[in-house]
Amino acid sequence: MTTMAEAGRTRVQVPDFDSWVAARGPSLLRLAYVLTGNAVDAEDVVQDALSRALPRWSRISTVDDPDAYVRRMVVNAHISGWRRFRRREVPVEVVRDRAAAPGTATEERDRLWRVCQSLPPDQRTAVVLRFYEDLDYAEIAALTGVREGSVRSRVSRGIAAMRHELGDDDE
Amino acid sequence: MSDLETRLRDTLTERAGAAPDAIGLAAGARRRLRRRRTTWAVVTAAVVAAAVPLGLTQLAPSPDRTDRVADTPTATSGLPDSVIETGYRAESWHDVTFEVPVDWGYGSPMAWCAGDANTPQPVLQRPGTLSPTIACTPTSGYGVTFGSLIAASFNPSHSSGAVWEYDGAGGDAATYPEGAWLGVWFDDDVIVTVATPDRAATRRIVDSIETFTGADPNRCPATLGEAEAARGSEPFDTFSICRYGPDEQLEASRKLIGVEGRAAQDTIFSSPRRTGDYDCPTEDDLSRTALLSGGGYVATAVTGASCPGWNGLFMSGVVRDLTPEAQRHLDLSQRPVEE
Repeated sequence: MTTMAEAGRTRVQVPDFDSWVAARGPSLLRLAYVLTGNAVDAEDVVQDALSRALPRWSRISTVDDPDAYVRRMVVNAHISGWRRFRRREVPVEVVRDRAAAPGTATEERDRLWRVCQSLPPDQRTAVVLRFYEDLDYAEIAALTGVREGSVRSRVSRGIAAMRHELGDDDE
Repeated sequence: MSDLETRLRDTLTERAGAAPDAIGLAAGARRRLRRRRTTWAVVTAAVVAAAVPLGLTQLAPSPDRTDRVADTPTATSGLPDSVIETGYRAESWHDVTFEVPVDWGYGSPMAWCAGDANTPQPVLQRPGTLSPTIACTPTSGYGVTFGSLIAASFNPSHSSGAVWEYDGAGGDAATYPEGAWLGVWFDDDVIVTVATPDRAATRRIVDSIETFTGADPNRCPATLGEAEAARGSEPFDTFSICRYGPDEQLEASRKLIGVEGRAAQDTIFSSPRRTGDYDCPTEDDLSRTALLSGGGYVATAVTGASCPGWNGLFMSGVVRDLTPEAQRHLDLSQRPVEE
């Protein structure tokens, strides 16, 4: 269902909040899930972002790309969460120091997922935005409020740490 | 892209499929928004209870003095669009607005004896105004205080809109100046208390209190989202400064007209473009000030953030660093800059 609203002088069709959430909610949750690593935190992050978007929906719905706008809010909610609780340990399964023998593709991905989740939150966020969201460094910098150089460093250090944990140092 | 990066991309995409089902997200967002606002209101109410000296129980005259309550209006109610001619200005909080004389300042009525003051000067006290621990006698001077009200904890001694003369006889210490006229207005969410030396003045203020829909007399909507969506409907030479709290509800508003408005806009919008770079942690408690020209949204200003990167003037994709002069124009805890 859509409602009519004026954006500037042009009348455009914009989605109402419920319709938009029904359509885009799964995608937001997927992003939140890879950022947080668990379902509970993912739901928490998305609901926090949506609750902040709700009172200003009349404006958000008329921007060029509401999807990108709310996805930024999700990332901000995630960053806000880990910064607020930055002393809290991130629970992950044990990560081996050295590579195990190559296994099935599923096992490989299990290990890769766990290693990714074991990264410090700032590195993990940068890595996810780079390789899941396909954002460039400048976009990540704008989104996370840090310098582009810092983003490059976080991604680089994150990948290096993962390589080390996975025993891919020689690659 | 290296092999690891390719595998990482594939893994993240695959694992994203394990995200929880998107059921009830919109309803959950609404519940969370309501909860956040309720929590904020409770916190504000606690602040008001600690800071508002009128102490509603003290507002009540002794039972045998109820015949002294003056409830006949002596001034007309209703708010003009412009307060220039009336000698009054509009003040608002959330969706409640009222008028006070233009020469009233801001602060705590309990601090009237600070400095060199010998007699109480009326002030407006908004929620969150710090009350210095000064033992003035009488305890409170003149002014208006307002804030959030949790109806369940409020047992009014007067009906909303009542005006009466303060009687300090029998008390250990005077709460108000002798002969002060007190007034109170409340609805389910907001309470406003008034103390002036004059019955007509108190009545005038009390009668002006009302809730608004759309925008207040300063052209400021009750929520930030509405302000950001506002389109111009007034002559260009009105300039509205609308401050919103972290809950995005209106905290304070001001409308400048003519030369005052133009001077404020010139100062604010000529602030230099940002050239520096900041690495700021997220701050959840930012207040934002929406700026409206002719009733239409123009820009948002942020001041007072812990990390300077969050402060600035955000206008059409350009960030400007607010000069001290610009910040002074945006400071609604002080009277307007005189041109």
